[in-house]
Amino acid sequence: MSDYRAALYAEILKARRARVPALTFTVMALPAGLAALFMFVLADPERARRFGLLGQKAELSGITADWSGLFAFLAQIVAVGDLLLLAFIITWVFGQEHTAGTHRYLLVLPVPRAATVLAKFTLTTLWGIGANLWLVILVLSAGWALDLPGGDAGVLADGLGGVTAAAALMLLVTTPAAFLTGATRSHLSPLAAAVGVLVLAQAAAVLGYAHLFPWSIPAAATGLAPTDLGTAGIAIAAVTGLAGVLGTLSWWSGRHADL
Amino acid sequence: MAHRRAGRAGAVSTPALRVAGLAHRFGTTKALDGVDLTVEPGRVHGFLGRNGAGKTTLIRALLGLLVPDRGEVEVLGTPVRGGRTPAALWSRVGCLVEGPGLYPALTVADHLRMAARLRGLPRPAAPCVTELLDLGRYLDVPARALSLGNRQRLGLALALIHRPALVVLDEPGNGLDPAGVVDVRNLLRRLAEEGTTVFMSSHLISEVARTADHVSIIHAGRLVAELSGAELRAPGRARLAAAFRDGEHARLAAAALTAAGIQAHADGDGLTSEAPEAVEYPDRMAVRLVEAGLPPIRLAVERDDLEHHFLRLTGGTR
Repeated sequence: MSDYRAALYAEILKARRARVPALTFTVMALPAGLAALFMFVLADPERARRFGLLGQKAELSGITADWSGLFAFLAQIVAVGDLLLLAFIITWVFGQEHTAGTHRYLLVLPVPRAATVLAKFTLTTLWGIGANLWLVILVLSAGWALDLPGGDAGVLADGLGGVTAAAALMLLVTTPAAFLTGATRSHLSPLAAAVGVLVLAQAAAVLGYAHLFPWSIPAAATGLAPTDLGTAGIAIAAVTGLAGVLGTLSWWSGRHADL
Repeated sequence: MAHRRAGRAGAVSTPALRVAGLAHRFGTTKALDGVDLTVEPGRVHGFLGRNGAGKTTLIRALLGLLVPDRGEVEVLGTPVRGGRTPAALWSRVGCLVEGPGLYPALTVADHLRMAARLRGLPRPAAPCVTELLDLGRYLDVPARALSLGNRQRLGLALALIHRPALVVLDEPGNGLDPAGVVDVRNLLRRLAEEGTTVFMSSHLISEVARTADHVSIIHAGRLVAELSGAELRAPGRARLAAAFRDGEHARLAAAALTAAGIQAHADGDGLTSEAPEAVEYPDRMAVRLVEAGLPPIRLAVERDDLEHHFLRLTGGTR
């Protein structure tokens, strides 16, 4: 346990000193700002027309200017943006060791390699939770500032529940990015893979298989995809998460970790 | 390093390093080809080889960073088996491999604090190495802003912070200025005197000759020579070497000396002789050659040193 705590201390120190966490929080503010802008435009159709194209796009999105609409927008951000954000965070946390040439020093420490890997996953999870919490706070603040209608307790509970479930499932299904970072020793491959599965996730949702494709399961949890999540969906997400963690542990303990 | 952990020196009776029949291939390239090596504790063991000779591959095998195709590795009496090596072993080993691994955004103090925490050391551990390696002025400087030499010093500090029983250093002099090279040499000697085993690879032959008690030379994945401290310090084999205007003069000169009972060999524009008379009386040789109408343009007595050994064994030229 002390090995794990020491490894976690090291991971948190590396993240605290880097600019990347601040960058991710800044980036998360952009979709929150966009959600606020959409709500601002949609709240008044006359104003929407004055905004020209933006107003038309906002109307085409099919989102209504109320708390349900705001949560639908938030769900879209989490279902799409979180995949890219978490893939980026995981790639940075695991990949920086190869970029800096520090991975081999982690392998010859009196700290088991498993403790190092688990500490890294703990950091990515905390970071992901923090970024999502920040997003939710910004979006809710925008809703209250715009005084959106329909904000009863049931809508808030449903909206927050769906977004929380989606974010949690996304944390699970993005763990394979850590394995991919190690196996390819590249920052680009996991990010390219994230973009690829994002496209496939859209296709799975359209075809009605969102609950069976790991990376569209979070969208199914929010109700964005027209299928019920079901036990199978949760099981698939859990197995994907576990496979990502075990694959990463296996790779770090294996014979190719220093190549 | 006056505060070494009590009982560390002398506690190790087994070899600090033992390698038996180590072999490894990268594709069709033999990186290591049956290497056997034993490093006694409390020594500075130099490890020389040309680029691609297998130095770094061997070091990576020693540190469990690479699982060899064949052979055994033991570090401080513990078998090394890649990722399955007991992690506790690394609390007694420090290393600097293929450059210092530093995080650009972390300061010198951060690196030392992090290393101390990961190694379970008490807080006062870091000031000792900062003093030893003259890093005190740079504690608040991020690694990305350090000079190459100071990055190397920090890498050494991280390798030594836990006062290991064995230090494995790959090119420890890289990036250091002449004063830094001397500092590191003195530091390594002092560590060895206090009982630490130092295993250092380098391409700086003169530095290894000055620092090491024992030298191994690797070539094409095989150990081709082991030189003890006595052999390193003993005066090397001497020879008379002369250079002539052209190959014909060199050939005639060698024939003239051999006819006079002084065995000599021509090689290109040069001539060498290991005959005692030639080595002891080079002035007489010069007179002989001038009298024969074959004046040399250069004539000197040369002695084998580590560089000679190295170049002869690895097929290089001086």
